[in-house]
Amino acid sequence: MSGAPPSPGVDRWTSRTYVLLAFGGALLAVAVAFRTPVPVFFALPLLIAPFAAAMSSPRQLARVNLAWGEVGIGADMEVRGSLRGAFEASAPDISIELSPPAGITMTRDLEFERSPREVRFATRWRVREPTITSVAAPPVIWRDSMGLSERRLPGTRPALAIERYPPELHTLTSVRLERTIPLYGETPSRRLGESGEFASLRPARTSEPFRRINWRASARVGRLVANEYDAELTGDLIVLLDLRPSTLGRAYDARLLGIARAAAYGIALSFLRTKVRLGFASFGEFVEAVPLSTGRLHRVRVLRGILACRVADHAEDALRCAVGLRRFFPPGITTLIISSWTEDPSLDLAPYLRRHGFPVVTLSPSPIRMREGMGGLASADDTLARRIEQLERRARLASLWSYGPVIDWENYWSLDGLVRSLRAPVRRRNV
Amino acid sequence: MSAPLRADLSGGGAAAALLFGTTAGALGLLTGLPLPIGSVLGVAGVGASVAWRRASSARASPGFLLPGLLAISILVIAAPPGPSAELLAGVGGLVLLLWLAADPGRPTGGERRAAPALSLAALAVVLAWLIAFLGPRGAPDVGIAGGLLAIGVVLLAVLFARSRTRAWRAPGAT
Repeated sequence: MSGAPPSPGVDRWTSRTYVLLAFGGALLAVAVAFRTPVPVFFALPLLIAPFAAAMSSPRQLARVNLAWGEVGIGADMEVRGSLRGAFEASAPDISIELSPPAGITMTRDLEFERSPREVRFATRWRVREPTITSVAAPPVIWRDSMGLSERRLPGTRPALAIERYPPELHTLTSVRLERTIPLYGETPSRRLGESGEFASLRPARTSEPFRRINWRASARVGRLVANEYDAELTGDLIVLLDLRPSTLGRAYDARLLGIARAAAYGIALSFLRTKVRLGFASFGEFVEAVPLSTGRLHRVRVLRGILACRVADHAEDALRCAVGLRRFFPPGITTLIISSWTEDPSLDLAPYLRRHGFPVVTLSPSPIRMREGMGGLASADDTLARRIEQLERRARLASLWSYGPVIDWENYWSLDGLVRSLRAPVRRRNV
Repeated sequence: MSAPLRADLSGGGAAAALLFGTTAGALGLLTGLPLPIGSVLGVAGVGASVAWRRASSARASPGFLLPGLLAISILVIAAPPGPSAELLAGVGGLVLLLWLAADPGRPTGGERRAAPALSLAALAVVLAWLIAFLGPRGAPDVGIAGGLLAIGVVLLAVLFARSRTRAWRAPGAT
C-alpha cells in the first residue's frame, strides 16, 4: 500500500445537461440569425447552469464505503445498507443505482435516511423462486440538485450474496441421516476427530488451534488440554446436481437449475452444520466433484462448486455419471439426486447409481408450476392440461421408487416432503 | 425505519412548477401571437413537462424537459424585443432551473442547494439585461452582444474558479 489518497471520480454531465445545452445553443443561433435578443436571455441560464452545477461538486468526498445485507425468510427480503463517507452538506445529493438481478422484483422503492457521515438505504425485494446468487455492488453517485452534473464515487463495495431456499431446510439439522440409508449394517464409525460431538479430553499439542482448547478444563488441571470429538455421528451424504438439458428449453432448464442449486446449497449447509461429511457432484457431460469433507472451509468449496454449475450442452448417458461418481466417492454413501429430468427413462440417474452401490434419494423440481398459463389455453382447459401433466409426471416418478425415495417438488418454497422423507424414510430391505 | 426514510422526499416541487407555469403564461402575453394562444402554449408546454416528470418511470429520462423547452423557445423567438420581454425570458430560464432543482423524486431542499449555481446564472441574466437596458433603444445587436458578453464573463469566472481547485475533464472524456 502506497498510502496515497484515492483519486476521486470524474465529473460528468448528465443527459439532461445536453438537452439544455442543445436548446441554449440553438436559441443563440436563432437570435443571431434573426437579430432578436429575447432568445439570448432565455438561453443564458441554460448555457451557464451546467458549468455552475459542476462547481458545486463535493471535493472532500474521496471515498464512500458500502456495507449492505439482506434479511428475511422465504420469498420476501429486505435489503438494507449504509454508505459511509464525509458527505457533510452533500448527503442529500448522494444516491445509488440499485436494480435487482433477473428473477427478483423490487416490491418497495429505495428509501434513504441521510446524515452528514452516513446515508442509510432500504428496499424490499421478492424472489420468484429459491435461488443463490450474488448481486454486484451498485455504483454510488453524487448528482447536483438540478441533476446536471454527476460523479461516480470510489470506495470499498462488497457484492451482496442472496441465499434463498425453502425455510424447512433450516430445521434439517435434527435429521440423523443413517436412518435414511437402506443398506444392512449401516452404523456410523466411532472414529475420533476434530469436529463433531464431544467425546473426551486429551493433552493439547503445541500446534493446537485455540478453538479446540478446553479452557475450563485447562484451568482445572493446570496445563492445556484439548477437546476430542466423534468424527462421524451420522452417515455421509453426496449431493448430486443433474445439469443435463431437457426438451423444455434452455430458459426453463436454467430456472429449474437455479432452484436446484438453491436447494443443494440449503441442504448442504444444513448437513454441514451437523458435522456430517458431505460431498458435492454435478453431472452434465462429465462428473465434477467436491470430495467428502466437513468444516467451514468445505462449505465455501461446496458453494463455489454449486455456483459454477451451468446447464450442459448435451444430455449424456446416466451410466457415465455412475462410473464417474465411483472415481470420487466410495460406494454406500447416501446420494441425494436433484434432477428435474422426467422424459427418457433410460437417462434416469437413480437406477445406475443404485446399481453402482449408491443408495439414492431423488428430489425432482417440477416444471409444471413454471409453465402454468403458457399454453394459451382457457383457464378450465389449463387446469385440465395441468392435471394430465401432473398424472403423467407422477407415473414417471413412481417408477423410480423401486430405487429409493422420490420427492416431487412442486411448491418451490416448501421442502416439507424431503424433510418428512428423511425423518421417516421408507425402508427397503430387498433392493 | 420507513417513516423517516419517506419523510425526506421533497413535497413535489408544486410551488416551483406553479412559478414555472406562471412565467410561461406571462411570457405568452408578451409575444406577437394572438392573445390567448401564447399563454395557452406556454402553460400547456410547462404542464406537459410537469406531468411527465411526475410519472415516476420517466424521472431518469431527460425527455420530460422537451415540451416546456419547446413551448418557451417558440414564445421567446416570437416575442418582440423589449426590456420586459428580455427580463421575462431570462427569468423563465432561471425558473426552469429552479423547477429542475425541486425534483419530487429527490430529497427536500434542492432549491436551496442549487442556489450557488442559480446565482451565477442570475448574475449573467442581470448583466446582459443591464447592458441591453442601458444601451441605445431599438438596437437588438446590443442585446445580443450583451448576452454573449455575459455568458463569456460568467463561464470564464466559473472555469477559472474550477481550475484553481481541481482538474476539470470535458464531457465524454474517459
